Amino acid sequence: MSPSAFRLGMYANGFVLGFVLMGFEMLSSRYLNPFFGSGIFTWAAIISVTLFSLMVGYFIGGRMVDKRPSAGLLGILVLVAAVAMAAIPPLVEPIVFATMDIAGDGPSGVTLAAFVILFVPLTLIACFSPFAVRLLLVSTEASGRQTGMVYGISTCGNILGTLVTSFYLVPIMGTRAITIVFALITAASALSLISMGRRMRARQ
Amino acid sequence: MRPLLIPIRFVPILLVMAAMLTSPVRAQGTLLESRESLYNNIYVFEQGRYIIMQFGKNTRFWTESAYDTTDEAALPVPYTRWMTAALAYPESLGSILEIGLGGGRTAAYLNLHMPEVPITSVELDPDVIELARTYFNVAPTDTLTLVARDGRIHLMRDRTTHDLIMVDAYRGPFVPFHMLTREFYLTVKRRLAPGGAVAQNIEPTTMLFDAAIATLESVFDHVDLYPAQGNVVAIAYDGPRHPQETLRARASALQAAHDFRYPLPELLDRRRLLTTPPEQEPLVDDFAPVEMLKSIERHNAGVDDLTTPAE
Repeated sequence: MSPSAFRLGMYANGFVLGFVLMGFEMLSSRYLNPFFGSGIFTWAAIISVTLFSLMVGYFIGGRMVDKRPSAGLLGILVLVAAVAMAAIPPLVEPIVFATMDIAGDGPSGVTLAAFVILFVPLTLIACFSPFAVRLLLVSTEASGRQTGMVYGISTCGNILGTLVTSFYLVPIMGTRAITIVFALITAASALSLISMGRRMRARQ
Repeated sequence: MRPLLIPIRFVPILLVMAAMLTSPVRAQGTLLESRESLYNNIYVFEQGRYIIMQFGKNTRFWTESAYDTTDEAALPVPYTRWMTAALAYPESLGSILEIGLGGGRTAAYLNLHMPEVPITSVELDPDVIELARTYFNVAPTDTLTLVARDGRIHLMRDRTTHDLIMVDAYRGPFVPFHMLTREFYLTVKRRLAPGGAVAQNIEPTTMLFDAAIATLESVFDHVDLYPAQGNVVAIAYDGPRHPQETLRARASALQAAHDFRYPLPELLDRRRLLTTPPEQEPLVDDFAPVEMLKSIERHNAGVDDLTTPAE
């Protein structure tokens, strides 16, 4: 696999994973509203848990890629994110009822429920950015541009994920169906990362 | 002198009614207070002898409640009168739950006429409760309890059953989707005492009306509709259909006992039975595109096509 093909592949995966990440965040409101209402508390819980997951994902992703700079490892993390996402539709009700028993229906209850739904998939997807930056860096002269591209393209995916999910998908499809579609897209991205890793290793 | 077409004493009433019907208009009059709460932009206006509560969104305003300061027993917003028609449905009236207090006039009306029947009114926005207490002369009594909580959360967490549950949870033009789904009404049903009924205020000009009726119909054995000057009040219940004579007899007995300002037997005359449910999928938690349905105007004919008058 040529370096430029590898680069394009990483950008495409950055876009797709950015799309799914914000799409799933928007979707989580549909899971939480029936139990916790649709007010500002629910949104505060969703947004803070999302940012917390990104924070953790950046930290651990950065450490992992330094130990083992491999697109294959990143692919495995993303594959686990896909499985965690696919587990939400059948498990969300028992999860939410359990969190309500533990933490009630106030701010701590909704934050805990948002955490259980979002944390694993979003943290693992957030590992993408530090992995991509490290794997794409070839020289210090291009490091600024390369980092900018990774963050710019994945943020472009974030924007479209937010808009398309909220304005287009939620009005035409069920929440669970959209979640499964997102999980399948994430799994496809994971497989492409694993295969990119294999081909890069074969080349070396 | 030529006689006036409209007697002058009706003019203020007509003005208020016009304000209700063309609701996205700012009420005329003196602004008493405006408040940005956690959930709404709330405006309280004084307009002649009326106090009006509106929710604003950008430049548009939606009337939530109106109070006639000269008449404690008046319900100036017409549809709220037909919400009280639901009193005739339960076999007994041991407890009433209202979801969506607004200015609180419906709850106050019921409490005024039936002070012995416990009423709980659940309102999401604590500021709305405060403004209702300040300007709409609504105060908790031994039998009127005000609770600041999301309506659905209240139904899930509080296992008390009620003979009548009245749902009127509008936030400006919208009802939050989680208060319109099958799962919501199934929760309502679990909190109804045997023989109980649920009343729901629905705005009938968009496809959301059809979806809401289809959803109610999927959960309850019977749905009755009361066209109420702009809005439609739906009353749903389980068990055999109540013959009109039964409801009339109950309404007359209640009327004799409580002397309601808007006589129950007269309100019941509007009763229409849902015989042709709309061909619309019921809303479920998983798929409730309320914003999209709300944006589609209803082109099919009104309530008449879905219902037959009760004999």
